Amino acid sequence: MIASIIGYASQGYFVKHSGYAGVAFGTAVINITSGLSITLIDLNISLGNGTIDQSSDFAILESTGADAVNGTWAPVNDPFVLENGGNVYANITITAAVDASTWFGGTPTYAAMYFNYTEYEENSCLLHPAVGHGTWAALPSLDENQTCQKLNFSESSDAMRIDIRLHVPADAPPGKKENSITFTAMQSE
Amino acid sequence: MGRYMDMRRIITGVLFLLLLLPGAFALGISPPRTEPTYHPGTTITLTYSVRGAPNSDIEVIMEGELVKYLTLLSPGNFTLDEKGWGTISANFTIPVLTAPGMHEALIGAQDAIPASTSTVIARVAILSQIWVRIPYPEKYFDFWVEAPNRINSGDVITLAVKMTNRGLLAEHVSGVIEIFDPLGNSVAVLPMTSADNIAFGESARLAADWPTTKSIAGNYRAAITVNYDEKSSSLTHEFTVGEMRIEILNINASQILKDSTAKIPITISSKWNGEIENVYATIDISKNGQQVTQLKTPSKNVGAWAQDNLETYWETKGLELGSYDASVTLHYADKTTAATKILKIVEAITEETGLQLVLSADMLVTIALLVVVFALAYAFMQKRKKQKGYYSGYYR
Repeated sequence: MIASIIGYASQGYFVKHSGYAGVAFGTAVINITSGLSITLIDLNISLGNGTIDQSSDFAILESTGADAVNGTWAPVNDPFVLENGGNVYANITITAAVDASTWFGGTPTYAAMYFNYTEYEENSCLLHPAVGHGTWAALPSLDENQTCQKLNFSESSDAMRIDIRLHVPADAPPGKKENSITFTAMQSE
Repeated sequence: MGRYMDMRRIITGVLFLLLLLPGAFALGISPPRTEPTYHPGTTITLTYSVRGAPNSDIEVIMEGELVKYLTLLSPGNFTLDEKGWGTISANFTIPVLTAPGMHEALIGAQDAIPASTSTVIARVAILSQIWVRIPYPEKYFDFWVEAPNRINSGDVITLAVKMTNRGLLAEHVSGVIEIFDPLGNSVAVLPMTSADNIAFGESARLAADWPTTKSIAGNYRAAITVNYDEKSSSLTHEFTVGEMRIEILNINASQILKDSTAKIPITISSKWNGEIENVYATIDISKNGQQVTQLKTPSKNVGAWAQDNLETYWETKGLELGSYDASVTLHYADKTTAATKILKIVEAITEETGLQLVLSADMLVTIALLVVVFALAYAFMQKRKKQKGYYSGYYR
């Protein structure tokens, strides 16, 4: 279980006195307010340094621990981990600010990025979309790409893992590559 | 991309760091959903509590079909207080809507992207839904199946459907479930509970229990038919019936170095929907029918549906070369699972056959050097080959 750092609760307390001397009845009333909360637990993915093979059009890097294809990057097993810290089911989407060709530069047809989500804790996702669960789905810019449609909130089953795969064109210019990836949550059902 | 470009291509060094911000990001909002009653022209004031990391900068986001009917009253950018709390408030004017179904506006918060040297920023956003529902001019329900995906053989599975009316009054709702076993055979037909007089916005829950006693383990399918007056809808739910069984997936050893202490890992897989305590294996090793030794792994608890490893060590000092029979017996609860494997004691490992390989440091260095030499030679040959191809093509 990953400890939640978000919670919502409000409470009231009422005490009712009976007419019998020496006897008191107490009634505690706790009103739990519903709250939606997500926590990006592991928000660092570092794919490190590498070079693209001379004879290849693009290299493939991913956060799953798989070897880089057509490149010298060391395998990295370092996904995003997202936890539902609220008390309602959450519908999670993922969005990139810019598409892969804008992000990397180089030959646009060789640039791509994908996402793939799995359950970080057993039974954490109770409703899956058609693609993206255990399979690579394209991550275009600006579209809200559906991941888990019903992320559980029970303590031992509330975290999902999101991996990223990048296709980097061999002629992409070196230098800083800026993008932002947003995980958005809404109440499910 | 042609060969000419390949030749000119400079090896490109690329650094990808996805987010360099410390710690974890969290954002929460309450309430997560508001469903005002449809009264066109009415303006309601909505107030949201936002919580995140103390003193973090927040951007308010508003979107959705009905976003133009939202008016933000609080600042569009703000900073959470030292305890991590903040407030968003907005007015929402319910518009005139004609299309039946759900209409939505969204309001929420996201981390403001900080100025940093990060190459990629990962962040979270949370959206609270404002739902306005217009009834369908017919009998119309939304359905959700509520049932576990895994259950143990012998347990009772409760299969339920939650249904909410989005249209005209339904006087009577009922259902039936047909269950199909892993072979596709129909094994049960179960009537569900029923409900009466479900009005717009109201919900009912229909359910049926199925005892899995005498059911074989495997994947089952429940075909659910829900009837609401003269209409019906079909739903399906798949679930797995597990059994108290642990499979031995692999004995990760085959060649064992002579006069060594060899690790023998055993990969196991539980088919039970719960933890099994005190799981261990014994390995009887024999040669020509004569027992040589018996090994035993430490005990461990194996989680529900988990794949796990047990391991022990075999001291082969003084044992002769050749094949040995290893009989592995897995012990758990009052059950056992058995598997066999032939282990060979050898002078040297000839090929990698499992995790038990024990290679000396000298062997590893030699192998590494050979790999590097071959890789360099191959790269050199490839480069020469391309150069030759390019220039011959150019002069042709």
